[in-house]
Amino acid sequence: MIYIGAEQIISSLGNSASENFNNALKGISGVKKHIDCNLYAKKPLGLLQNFELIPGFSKVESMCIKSGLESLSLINNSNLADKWLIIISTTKGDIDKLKGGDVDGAKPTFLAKRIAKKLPIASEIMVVSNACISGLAATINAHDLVKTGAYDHVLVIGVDVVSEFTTLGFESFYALSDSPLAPFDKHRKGLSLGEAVSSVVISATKELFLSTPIKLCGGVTTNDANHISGPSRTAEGLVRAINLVLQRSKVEASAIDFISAHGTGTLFNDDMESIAFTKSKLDKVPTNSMKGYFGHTLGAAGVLELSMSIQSIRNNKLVKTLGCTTPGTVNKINILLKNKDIPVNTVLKTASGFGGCNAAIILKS
Amino acid sequence: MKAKAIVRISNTKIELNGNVQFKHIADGRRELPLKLIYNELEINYPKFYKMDNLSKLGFLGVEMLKKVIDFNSFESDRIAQIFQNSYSSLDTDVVHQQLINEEKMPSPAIFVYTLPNIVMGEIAIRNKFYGENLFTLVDEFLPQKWIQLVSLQFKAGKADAVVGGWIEIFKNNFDLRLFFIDKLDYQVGFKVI
Repeated sequence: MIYIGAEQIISSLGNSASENFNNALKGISGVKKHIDCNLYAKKPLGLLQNFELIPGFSKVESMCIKSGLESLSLINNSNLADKWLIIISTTKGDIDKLKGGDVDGAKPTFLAKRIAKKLPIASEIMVVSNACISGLAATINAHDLVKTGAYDHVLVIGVDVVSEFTTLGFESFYALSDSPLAPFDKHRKGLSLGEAVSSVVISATKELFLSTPIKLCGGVTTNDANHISGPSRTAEGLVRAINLVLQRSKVEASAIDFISAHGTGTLFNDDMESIAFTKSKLDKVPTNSMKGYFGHTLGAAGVLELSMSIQSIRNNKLVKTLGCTTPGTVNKINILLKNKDIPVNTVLKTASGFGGCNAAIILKS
Repeated sequence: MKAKAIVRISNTKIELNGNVQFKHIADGRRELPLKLIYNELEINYPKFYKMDNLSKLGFLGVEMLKKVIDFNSFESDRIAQIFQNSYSSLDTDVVHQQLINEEKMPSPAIFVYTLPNIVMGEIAIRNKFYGENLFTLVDEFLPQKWIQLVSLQFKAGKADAVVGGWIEIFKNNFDLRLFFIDKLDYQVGFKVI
């Protein structure tokens, strides 16, 4: 069995996994309009508040180092000398550096090396950059690498910041919502961008973790082979990913207690997911999108939402889909409109992204 | 035992399984011969013209692979794509950034290519590959590290074949080292040199 734990989150909502989870339970959102900042589009954004940089390091680097150190403080420090891999999951890394022409500094591998030097593990480094499924793709490969014995443990760090580059890019797609994010709602008008870092540790050694870890049953990625920027109308790729992960993890659809969906709040994405969950006979399963709390944090989103799902399993509490009051997707699915206290034993986490990619992961208590 | 097929497209060579291709367009060129390769392959795929150079490079490499590999002999969801580079999508990122710097309207047709994994989407669309896809960034191509990721696909039973390798492009420097490896190659033990 492979385990996942030592989760950490720094976002617009808080500076630890438990603070983020508790603020979400209170229905607080970190996504708001920032009138005082000169950030490009005047759209709601989930920005970090009062984040202190580590001297000599960029914001993205500082976020990753702080999160990574916190995750490593949640494991047995006698294991720091084992064989580690660090995987950074990001879509754009330090892309702000490109504005001044610093191409080499904008390479995600550049920041990965700087992060690794500040973490107390001798490790190899890899960056996964697979659009919005990056965090899940990183976690899936971490699982497979540990399972085949290539590494003892993997530290996965998902990160992206709100930048002029991505904000204006999404704006050119008319994808950004003027009003507060409303995933799966009848009146949803698009997504909001957010920034966050989240990290987890993946290992076959249960005793590595100071708190009881969660079981990571592995995952699947697929491609729609349909369109590079639009979700498949038949949801074919996501259905394949879900059905394969259920089959390979030997989990019945009826055993899923909770789905942490992608739920970006765009018309087509949320409809596509409703089709996928219906086709996979998961339309009755309590489902949320967490984008209303954080915004869409791109390369961080998968790791962030896995960390929040781990918190759900630890606390037997599901957080509602903040921003959704009247669900309205092409197929009716069971969107969580209120927080819920139920035993959370088996969780399905999904994501989809540009390039037609989809991913699905199963967690068990 | 070698990989079943290898395509190399770089500033100095265009090769299929070690055999020089299109010698007249490869010799000593400094600029990208992508359009010339497209013409040589005699394909008709209008979407090609909308792609950025990273996607064009990957697309053409797979088209060349098809001269020696019959993808139809594999289930469409059993072919995985595993690619790597070091420059991510920076070749297109600088174009988007330039529009911003000049206070011009960013273009969604450019922005969509500011992710390295889009090339896998283009290859998937063209060839109906529904399988696993992974794009990783590393400083340099270390075949044994790439093979480690490939072997995960076979060990976990996730794929019967893998298409991928190294796909680097920035400005006028480009280097595609594309491999096709199937389960059988893997069981026998392969090297990608």
